[in-house]
Amino acid sequence: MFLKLFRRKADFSDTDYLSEYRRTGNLTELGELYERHMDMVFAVCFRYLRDEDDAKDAVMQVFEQLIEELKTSEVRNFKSWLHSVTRNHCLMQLRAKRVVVGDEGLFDHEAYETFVVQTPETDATLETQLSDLGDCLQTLAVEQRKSVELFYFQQLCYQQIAEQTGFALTKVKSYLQNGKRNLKLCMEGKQHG
Amino acid sequence: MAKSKQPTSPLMPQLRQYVAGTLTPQDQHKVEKEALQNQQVDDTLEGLQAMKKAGVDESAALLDVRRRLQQRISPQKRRLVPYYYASAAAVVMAVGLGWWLVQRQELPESTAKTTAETVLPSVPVPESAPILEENSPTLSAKPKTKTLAQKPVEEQVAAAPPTQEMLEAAPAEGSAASIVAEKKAEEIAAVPAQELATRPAQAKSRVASAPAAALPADTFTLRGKILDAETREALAGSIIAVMGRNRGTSSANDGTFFLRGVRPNDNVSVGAVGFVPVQITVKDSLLAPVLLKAEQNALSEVVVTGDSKRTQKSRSIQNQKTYSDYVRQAIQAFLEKNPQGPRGRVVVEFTVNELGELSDFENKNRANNQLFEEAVRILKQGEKWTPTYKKGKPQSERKRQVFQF
Repeated sequence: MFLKLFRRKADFSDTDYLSEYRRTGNLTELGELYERHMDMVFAVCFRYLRDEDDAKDAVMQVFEQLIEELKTSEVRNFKSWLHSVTRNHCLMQLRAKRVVVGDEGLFDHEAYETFVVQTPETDATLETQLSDLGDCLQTLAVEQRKSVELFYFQQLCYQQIAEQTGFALTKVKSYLQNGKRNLKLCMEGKQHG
Repeated sequence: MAKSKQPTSPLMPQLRQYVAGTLTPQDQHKVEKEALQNQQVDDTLEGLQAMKKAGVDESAALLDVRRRLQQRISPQKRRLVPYYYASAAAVVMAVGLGWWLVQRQELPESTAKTTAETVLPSVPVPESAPILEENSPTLSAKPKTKTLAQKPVEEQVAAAPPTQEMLEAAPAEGSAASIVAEKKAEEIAAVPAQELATRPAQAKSRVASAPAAALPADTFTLRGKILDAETREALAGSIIAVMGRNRGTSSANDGTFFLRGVRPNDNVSVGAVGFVPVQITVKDSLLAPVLLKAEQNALSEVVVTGDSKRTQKSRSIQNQKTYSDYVRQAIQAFLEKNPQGPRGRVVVEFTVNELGELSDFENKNRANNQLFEEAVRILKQGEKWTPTYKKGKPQSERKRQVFQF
């Protein structure tokens, strides 16, 4: 009996749990699935709410939300779906409280998928894109350009970049994010115009 | 949202190691790169870092949440327990009731009679209750002519199950009562109308002579059969209605019907499509077969017209134009509010479910996240959508909306 339970837990994938829950409506199924990802949910909640108890409450509220939503909606990638549900929940709470959280880039996370991920279709477009990339890199602010170059071309980590350039460790990330965004906008402008 | 590549995205232990600072620079770089591309990883990482900064004990907090989650799940189990008690109680009740019934049958005749009489009036059918009251004395009076040994058992059978069929059979009180002496109670219900029809006079006289007949039998159940006057075929589905009162029924496949709650001297109208309707004043619970004549001017050909209903596409309740106006205005408002904000085209795909609710938003052209979120907000705030109808049933469907910021 015990062994069976264990094997079952190990073998069940997220989608198995989901279809099982939708079939039976059994909360224990959903609870088991949720426990797998609870550390992620808790971390995300803490990231936004910055308070241990609020984050704990949020984890439970997100679970309540799942109980309802998973009955009807089909979810393909549970983990990323769960993340966006969690994130939206936290943002809604923050908006309701009208608390401004002291984090620069909280409300404008964007451009997560970059030119780096998009594989160009042909060699010709790859070449033009690469030359565009070179041009665009020159348009970036010095800190952003340096960070992007060191991170993506030399594959260094934040700490190494901070050591080499003397930038503050926390700044490196925002340079990278902004640099990436600007690069993307620049590339899109070149493609369209 | 961002399509995380599940196998390659760093797992929680790796993220924790990163926060603890135990990864090699190469691994740190991998985690950072993933975090830049995948917001879920980024949020998790930031959360772990924030926890470290704030000095929160993650494992203790998780333990607490896990305990709360278990509590949330378990009430469902606990709620099941009362059902066990309820079913156990039901079983005990059933056994007790059965035992009581067996005991009752063994009781001497006199007590059985009184209990039977007290049970009967409590039957929850008000219309027929008076009939029953007059019925029971007849029943209890009758067996006295029979042998004593048989008596109690027979009475049990006749009186104890005052079922629906019994009540329907009740209008033929007298005849029914006379049959009780020879036949089992169940058979009373099965006695066809025709057989009963042979004894209406007998029944009537009996009712009159019965001591309880002093009570006015104000309603009865009317039985009869509807036939085609020429072919003598049964007319199924013909309408039988009491004029001036809200009572009516239709005949079964063999043309027979019964209609409860009829009073003597009620006007009953009988009609069927294509036949001349007939009105009858009712005096008795039984009608001779009603013959309907076919209508002379037979119905001319009926032309059935209907609009073929196309499958209705999902769209906002108001027409497309006002919806796109709304979208345009919302975009304009956003642009004015964020003059420095990003610009571009956003293609949002989403599901309109059976209730017209929107969900599963997808950023189809990988547009700027801020714009995508604004677009989702606009969609959510806008008019409700009506779901797609296929064969008259609402269905959930993926839809697409383009926003030009």
